[in-house]
Amino acid sequence: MLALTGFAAGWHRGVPAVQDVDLELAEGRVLAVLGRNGAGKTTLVKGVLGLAPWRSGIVRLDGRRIDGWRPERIARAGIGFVPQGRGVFPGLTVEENLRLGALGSGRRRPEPALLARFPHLFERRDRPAEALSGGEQRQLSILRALAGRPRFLLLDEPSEGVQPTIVEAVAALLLELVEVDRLGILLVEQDLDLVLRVAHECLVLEDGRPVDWFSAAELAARPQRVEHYLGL
Amino acid sequence: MSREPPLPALVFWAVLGLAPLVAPGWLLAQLAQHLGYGLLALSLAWVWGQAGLLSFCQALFFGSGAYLFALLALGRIPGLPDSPWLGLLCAPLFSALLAFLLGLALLSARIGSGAAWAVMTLVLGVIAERVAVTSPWLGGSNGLVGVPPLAVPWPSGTFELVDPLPLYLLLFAATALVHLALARHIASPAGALVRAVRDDALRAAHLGIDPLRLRLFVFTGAAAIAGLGGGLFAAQFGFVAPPLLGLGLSTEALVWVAVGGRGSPLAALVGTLVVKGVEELLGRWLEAWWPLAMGLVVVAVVLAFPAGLVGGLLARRGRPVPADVAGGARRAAVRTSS
Repeated sequence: MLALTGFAAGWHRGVPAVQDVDLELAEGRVLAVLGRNGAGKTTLVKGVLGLAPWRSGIVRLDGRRIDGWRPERIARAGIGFVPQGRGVFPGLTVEENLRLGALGSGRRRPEPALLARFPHLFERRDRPAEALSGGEQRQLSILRALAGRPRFLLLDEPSEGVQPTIVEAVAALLLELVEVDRLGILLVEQDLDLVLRVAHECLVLEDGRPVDWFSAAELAARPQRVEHYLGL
Repeated sequence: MSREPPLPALVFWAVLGLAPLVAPGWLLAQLAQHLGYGLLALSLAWVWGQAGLLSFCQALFFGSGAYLFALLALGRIPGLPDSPWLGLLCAPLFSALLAFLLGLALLSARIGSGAAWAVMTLVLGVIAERVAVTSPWLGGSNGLVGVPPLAVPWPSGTFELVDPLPLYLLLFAATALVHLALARHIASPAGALVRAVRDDALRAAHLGIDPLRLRLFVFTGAAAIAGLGGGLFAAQFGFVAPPLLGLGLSTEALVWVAVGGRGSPLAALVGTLVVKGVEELLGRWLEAWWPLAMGLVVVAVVLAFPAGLVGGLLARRGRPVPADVAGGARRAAVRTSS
């Protein structure tokens, strides 16, 4: 269980970009975080990961406090991250990128089955990551996070700027990770179709604070409930 | 893997290995000196090219190795015997210890890259040179002279390593071994980790990689290589002086590595031999104009061949993809592999 209580984070000391966030993410569940640009979604994720300054509140992983830990320690504790944008090391090969994910968590190499999840990446494993298309780089970024065998995965807008077929493949992978591997996933996303496909619950942020919380079923029944939050 | 293509390295070392058969003594002595500087260049290629830490104080570790060798060979350290071999053993260890402490202080203060790092290393080099100039124990501005050479037991007494050939063979072996070890490290998973931290330390951190520890490892290891070069320098020439620690030599080393190519140890080595060789040929002729001419060459190389003269060629040959070095070189590597 990954739990946040009264969590605040951000670069500005006086006015944290996110504050008063309470949430619980269990294994085998997907929590979507929605909100307009600038609502604090990315800062929330980065704050949990130690990549943005944590200001107050508590972050617990299986009951153990991890707030204030350094990013590498949080990663090794079992929280993987897929950053916004392409997020790969462009000069390293596909295989090296994956290996970094494994080495970071103390494994010599990633599981061979990992590349099988996206066969076209396996074919390109000796290529520099920058030679891949944008969507393939996103897939590589997800696989690299999985190479560390995390129990919780935080994804920052995986569908942004990616062609629909790749979004479809990513959605299928996320569902498999949740249902088969029982990962807990926190998904920052603006693509309502992807959210409707994979999420169990949704949290809406506005101006850095949670303003609404509902189940995916409620969202499916009344998508207009979030549309005004997202400015659609 | 980002490895150097093996053939150019083999040719390079084969040519240097055969040099004693044809080269006169004076040339061997000169090559031996340049190979010692080559160790400094290798250390800089690692710390700058691989870890992305632009170091203006690499000569500090070269010079500290040289001074430690001299102090031990002259028996100036109380409680320790006067032994050149002990000096050669301790030179890299001392430089590594110094780098570890300095690196820990800088990196813990979150000075781990960029302009602040460059300025701090520059200051360290200047301070070290001033300390040596003002310390009577270190011989002041004259440095330490009369440093005994390395010697090995021989049936007819002891054999001192003072002639060009044995010194050349020693420097050849040391530099070749360090080059081989560094090339293997760069091609290993640990080498990829180092480049990942160079390219994006935060991104590496969220994969569970500790950027501070990796940078400290490279800074310390590279200092050991420079310290070995310094120790061998003192063994070769029998003297040490403050400029061996200072900004001047550090900057010269940056020139060798930039001209050769910082993305590859072999390129850095070739850059050193070429720049020092050209300096020997043209320096006497150009006299005071030499630094200016060299400056212009560096500017031209950096603008036209950002991956270095040799680094650019190597990137086209294999697929070393020396990552951040230059977009041009990267694109070339991508073309080759596709």
